[in-house]
Amino acid sequence: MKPSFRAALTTAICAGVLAVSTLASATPITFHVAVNTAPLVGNASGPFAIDFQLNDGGGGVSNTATLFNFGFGGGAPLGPANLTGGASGNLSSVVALNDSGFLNEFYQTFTAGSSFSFDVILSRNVDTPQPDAFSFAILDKNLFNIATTGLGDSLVFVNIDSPTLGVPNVQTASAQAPFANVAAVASPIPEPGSLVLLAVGLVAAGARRWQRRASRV
Amino acid sequence: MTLRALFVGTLTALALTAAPREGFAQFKTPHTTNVAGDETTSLGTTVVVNHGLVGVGRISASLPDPFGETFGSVSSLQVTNWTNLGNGSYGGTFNILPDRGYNSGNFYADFAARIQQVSFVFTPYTGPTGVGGTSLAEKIAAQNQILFTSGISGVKFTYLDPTRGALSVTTGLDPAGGTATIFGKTMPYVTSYTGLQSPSSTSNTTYVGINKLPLDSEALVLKADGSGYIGDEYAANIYYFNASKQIVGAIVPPAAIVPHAPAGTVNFGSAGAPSNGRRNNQGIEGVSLSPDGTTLFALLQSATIQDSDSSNDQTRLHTRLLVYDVSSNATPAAPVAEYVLTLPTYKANGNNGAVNKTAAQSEVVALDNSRLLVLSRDGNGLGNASENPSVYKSILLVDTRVGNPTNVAGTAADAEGGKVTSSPGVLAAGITALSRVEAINMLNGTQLGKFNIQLDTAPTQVTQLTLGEKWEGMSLVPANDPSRPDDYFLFVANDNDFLTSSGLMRGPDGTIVSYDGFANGYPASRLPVNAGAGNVNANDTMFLAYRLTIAAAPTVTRGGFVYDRRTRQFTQQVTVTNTGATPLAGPIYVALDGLSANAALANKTGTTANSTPTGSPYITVLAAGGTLAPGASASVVLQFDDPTLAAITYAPRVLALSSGTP
Repeated sequence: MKPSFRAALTTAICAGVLAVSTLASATPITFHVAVNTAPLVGNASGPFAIDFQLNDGGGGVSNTATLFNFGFGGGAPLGPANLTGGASGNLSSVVALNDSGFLNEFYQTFTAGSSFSFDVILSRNVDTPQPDAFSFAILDKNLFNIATTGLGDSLVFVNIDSPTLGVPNVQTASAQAPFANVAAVASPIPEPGSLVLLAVGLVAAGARRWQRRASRV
Repeated sequence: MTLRALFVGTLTALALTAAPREGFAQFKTPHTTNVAGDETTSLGTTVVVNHGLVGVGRISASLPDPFGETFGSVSSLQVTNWTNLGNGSYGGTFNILPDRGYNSGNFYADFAARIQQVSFVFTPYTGPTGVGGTSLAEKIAAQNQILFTSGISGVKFTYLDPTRGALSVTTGLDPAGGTATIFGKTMPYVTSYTGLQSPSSTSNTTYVGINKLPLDSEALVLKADGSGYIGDEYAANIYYFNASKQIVGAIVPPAAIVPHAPAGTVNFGSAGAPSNGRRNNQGIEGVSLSPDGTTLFALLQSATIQDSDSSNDQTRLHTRLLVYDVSSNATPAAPVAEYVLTLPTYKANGNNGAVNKTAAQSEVVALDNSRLLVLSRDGNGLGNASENPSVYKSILLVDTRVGNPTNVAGTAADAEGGKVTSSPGVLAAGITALSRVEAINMLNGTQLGKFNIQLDTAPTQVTQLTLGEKWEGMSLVPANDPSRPDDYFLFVANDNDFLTSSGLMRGPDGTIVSYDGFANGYPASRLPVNAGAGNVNANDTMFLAYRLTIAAAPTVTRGGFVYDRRTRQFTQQVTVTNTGATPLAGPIYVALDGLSANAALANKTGTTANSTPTGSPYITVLAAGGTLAPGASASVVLQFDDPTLAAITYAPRVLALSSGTP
């Protein structure tokens, strides 16, 4: 699958998730995360792993996190994904998390490049007695979190405690020495109408397939 | 309110459903303190900051009232005409309910129930040093923060007497087994009386034709229109009077509280214990009306006969709180709720031996429809002939919404002889008592000393400065301080039992007789040293004033969990917010009640040992010396060991305890 088609398909899938989520509950939040991973390149603590969690707050309210558009800044995913609870997917396409368990975790090793980035679609259903929480962290070769200034050594942490939470509520952090320059930045993604996004993605995927089929003739 | 705030509020409310109760502590030694500054405690959604004693006043025990009888005995208290005078002082009127008059041995007084009134000016004193005075007389004179600005006036209660067919005053004489139908119900009644004409008489006389409703008045509610309620000890009734102070109705408690002797026969006498129902001289000591006028609380002084062992006073701890809806009927037939309040127990002589007494309650003040202040105390101090030190005198905060207390109204526990215990002093399985915490420890030697009041440290000689034994009146008024909108003054006054060596009281024949209350049975160490020549021995009526903040308790908000593979622990942030208008002093803790067995709080400060539920891990959120300003928050990160990675569950409990350990 060529990158352009993969991106289009990913967009379509995620837009579908977004659309279904929109119909079922509070509108999800979408945001982009970028991390400077240059200090990790060639470091003896590697290979490192990307760790995502969506942990349950204890009530009957469900949330999902969909992660896509992974960028490795010259690096690449490695090995198989490790999945716990309501986790699925891999870093080559889409990672999906739901809070079906208490700990719902995805991690997969990668070859560090200059940066790592991804997009997030996160539902905003408020669970009780405490909120569900989404987090992103980087693990070292021993699968220990690299130490950060964030809660639980996370680089990104989100309490899903409001149906209106926004990017300002996304807590970002920096790693501590020896990776002090590894820092996460969260930014908003323009939010086109989800159905329009779905349609655009499907049209793009369909057009690509039509082109490929036509070229075989 | 924003949606975010709404959700946070919901989480907070859920978090506060498990709130602290004071442990069923036993006080084997004197429960004293010397804290000079603020003390903070919390229960459910309420925080109480005790800013300490800020004033004292005194009325001579030898002062006659307008009816020619000795003034005394604040068995209940209510302040009216409360005004901020704008010059640092406040004005008001004390409405004082005395009980049944002086009694000693086989002498009971024909004392008509009444309300005494006296105007006062209150100037709080908050200076760092004592109020001054060197000699006894000077020290007494310096107890003048509550100054009385009028003479004593009074009004006697009346009722329509069935024998006279006319209005009559009541009597303090013991009814023994006498009854009559009044207010359409069976009431105690004195037709004749056999006893002493005066305390110094040597033989009994029988007096006939008395024909009066007997009242041993112990609790007063005075509504704005002048009507109100009286809590009574003879019958454990709650009498309702109109604005003219005419008693026009009565709330009769559930049969389980009505005294019967023998079983099946009502008997309101106080000379001996009944077969079942309220103990003799342990009636409705506390009655209070919610500020909105809809909920009437009535609290029995201590456990019923059937719930206790008459020879073991420490088994009297499980008393009952009756809750009546009086929004449409001033004298409802039955309570809408009835709860058990477990009172503290103590060792009478404070020698660290096994407890042998219950700190019975003497007054309640309703803060609203669910929260009460309850005065629980020993009987030690000036006025008691026994050489026992003061061991326990505290004001408790009770909240019927906290801890899911069991409502036993209308159950078998309400029937004649009905119990809330499985054996004397042991609460029945399935019944949860009310939650409570100590809001004020009255035995604060530092603060009392500042106002020239001495703790009773028997067998040390008592003086007129020694703290009295019976504190039975409380009234709460707003401080009317715009900078402290949640602040109040709590006035507390004593029942001095009309104890003076120069007393006047109406005997059973209706004439005034003189008495010396210290004439019989008082060892020399218990005779209060007085101010010198011309003074008599007296257990004066004393008034104390405390300043309190009563506000919303700090709230706790929990964040979500994240698993840290470096520490192999789940972490979670909790945040405590002061939603009140008053700064809160640290330390403030969060306890984790019912923490799931798969998890342990790795960074706990300790484990609760003094506030129930005990055994819960807790963590310091704000250290001692810190202050949580209004609207400010403090956060802490919890670290959980959870080897199985299973769900972590618990109920957070905020402990705002500026003194003591959780």
